[in-house]
Amino acid sequence: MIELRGIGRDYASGDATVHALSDVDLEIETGEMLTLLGPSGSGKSTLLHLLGCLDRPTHGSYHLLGRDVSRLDRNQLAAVRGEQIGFVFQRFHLMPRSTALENVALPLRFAGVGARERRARAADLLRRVGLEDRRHHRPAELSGGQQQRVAIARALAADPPLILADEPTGNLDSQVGGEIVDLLLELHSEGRTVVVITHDEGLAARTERTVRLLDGRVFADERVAPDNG
Amino acid sequence: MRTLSLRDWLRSLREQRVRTLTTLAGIGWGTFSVVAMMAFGEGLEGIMQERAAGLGRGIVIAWPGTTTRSHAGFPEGRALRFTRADVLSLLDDVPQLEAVCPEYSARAQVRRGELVFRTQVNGVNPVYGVLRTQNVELGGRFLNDADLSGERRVAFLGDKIKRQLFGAEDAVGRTLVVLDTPFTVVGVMEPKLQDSDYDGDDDSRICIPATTHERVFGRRYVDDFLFRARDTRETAAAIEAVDAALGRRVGYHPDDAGALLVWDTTEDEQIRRYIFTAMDILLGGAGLFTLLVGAVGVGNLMFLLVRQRTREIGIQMAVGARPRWIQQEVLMQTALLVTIGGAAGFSGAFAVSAVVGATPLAATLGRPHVSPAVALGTIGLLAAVGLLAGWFPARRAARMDPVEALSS
Ligand SMILES: Nc1ncnc2c1ncn2[C@@H]1O[C@H](COP(=O)(O)OP(=O)(O)O)[C@@H](O)[C@H]1O
Ligand SMILES: [Mg+2]
Repeated sequence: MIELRGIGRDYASGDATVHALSDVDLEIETGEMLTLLGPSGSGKSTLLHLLGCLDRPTHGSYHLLGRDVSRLDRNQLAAVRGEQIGFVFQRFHLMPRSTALENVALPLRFAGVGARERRARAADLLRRVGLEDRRHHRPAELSGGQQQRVAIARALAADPPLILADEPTGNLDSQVGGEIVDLLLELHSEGRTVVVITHDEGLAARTERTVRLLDGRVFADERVAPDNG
Repeated sequence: MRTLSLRDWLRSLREQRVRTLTTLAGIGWGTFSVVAMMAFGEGLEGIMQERAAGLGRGIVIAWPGTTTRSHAGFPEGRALRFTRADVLSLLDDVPQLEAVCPEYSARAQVRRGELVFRTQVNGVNPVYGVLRTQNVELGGRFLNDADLSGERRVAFLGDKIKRQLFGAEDAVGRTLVVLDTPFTVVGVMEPKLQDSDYDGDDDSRICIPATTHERVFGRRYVDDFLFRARDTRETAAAIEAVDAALGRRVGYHPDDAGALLVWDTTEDEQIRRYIFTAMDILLGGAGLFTLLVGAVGVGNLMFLLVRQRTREIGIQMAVGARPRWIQQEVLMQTALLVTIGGAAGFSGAFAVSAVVGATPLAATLGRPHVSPAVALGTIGLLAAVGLLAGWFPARRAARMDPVEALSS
């Protein structure tokens, strides 16, 4: 599904150039679940942004579902995000003035889905993450865990094959975080491809594949039988 | 519009209530200024034109003068005299002329029963009524060709002298006496506005056929004559041609400046047009400036909102909003603000115009009128203002890097 070849991402930082990523080769199969591990500043978010077509690589090529997306323009990248990718962020990133329902429906608006169907599908998804009774609440009226559930529901709205999560439990206590992890594992078991950045070795142990980054390079790529006991 | 989440947008406007209201007020006031000033200018121009038209539209009044140079055996200093035939010959000799009318002018005693007035009694041709914008009250008529050729003793009365002689009674068909000669009233002039004259206001004048005037007052030479060019722009050429034709006919040098004295009312009209154009430019310019200040206000508000909503724009992009759509959205939002403000300004201008037009102020200020041209022009202007105010904030929003926007 995903094929990265010789990916590099440089940032100009004053006079110096920061190599946030260099020489990253990575292949991810459809339906795989993968955790990205690594110390702070190792390039995990940068890699996830590239995978999510939020950013373009300085070097290398990126094929998503057989299509070279590393040379697309900003409007085309947005279309790819809307159709193929669902994001879950550490800071939730919900629209603060919109209700839970409106937030979940947002990607459908950009997909050109009519208002009535948007509302119906968003309501279904909220039911799925257990928040049907919070439909008309604003993010500020929801707990962190609830906000992250809304964000997951939103990531699923356009039914994308690829889910990308950047430290989704980073702002949650461990019990609530565990529930979010369960939700992500459930998405994987449905056949979606899931990439999760985490500092949580426990979560890493529950996925079949772990990629470790160090200084912008792939330092280890381990496949183990997931420990979901 | 795929991205315009109106509710979300209105909520962020509500958070900036004061700024939003002042911005709307700016656009509203600017629109009001442009529209109201143009409307008032137009009303004022209308009433001044009406007053000026009271004397006549596009006419030239000419008097015989005194020669200032010898010509064809005549010495200089000769007082010129024109007959009715001299004047009427101009219609054949000067192709630019639409109409020409001889005029005898006299002050005379007018009597009806016990009532006696001294007033202006003029001998004219039927075309006089048209040239001097003398509209006829219902039930009457102006002098006609039969009156002229038959030297009839008929009279057309100004509305004021009619009131003085007949009060509220119907005057048509009644008799009055001028210099011991009885005249039958054939018509009365509708009241009109008149801002200038050369032998008294038309409302106090009695018009009789030129032929009858010659007989009753024993005249042979006209006091003055009026003419109008077919095309107002040819008035100057017509005056020159009239001067030349008369010079040939009665014998004076065509370059003799003292021979024919003229009052070209189209020059006044020209001046009036200049004044009103200047006024439009001045007032419209002031309104335009106000509107531009309003545009800057809208632009500022949009910049503020775009900056404030940076993270939300990043979120929208992350879930599939094309930068192009974001740009359109900001432009639409700007257009919405400008439309609301503009509509308020328009309504205000319409309301004030209607109120002034319905009060006694209308007698001096005229009826303010929002012409389609002004309305369309202002709408065009508002569209330009919206585009101007929205363009740069929209571009800033569309060019945001989603990763940076999300981390803000
Ligand atoms: N916009 C940027 N400008 C300059 N340097 C950046 C930018 N974004 C990330 N970096 C640098 O790239 C490196 C990788 O960052 P990041 O991918 O956020 O790491 P991680 O998510 O693993 O903590 C860091 O050194 C960081 O300072
Ligand atoms: Mg990170």
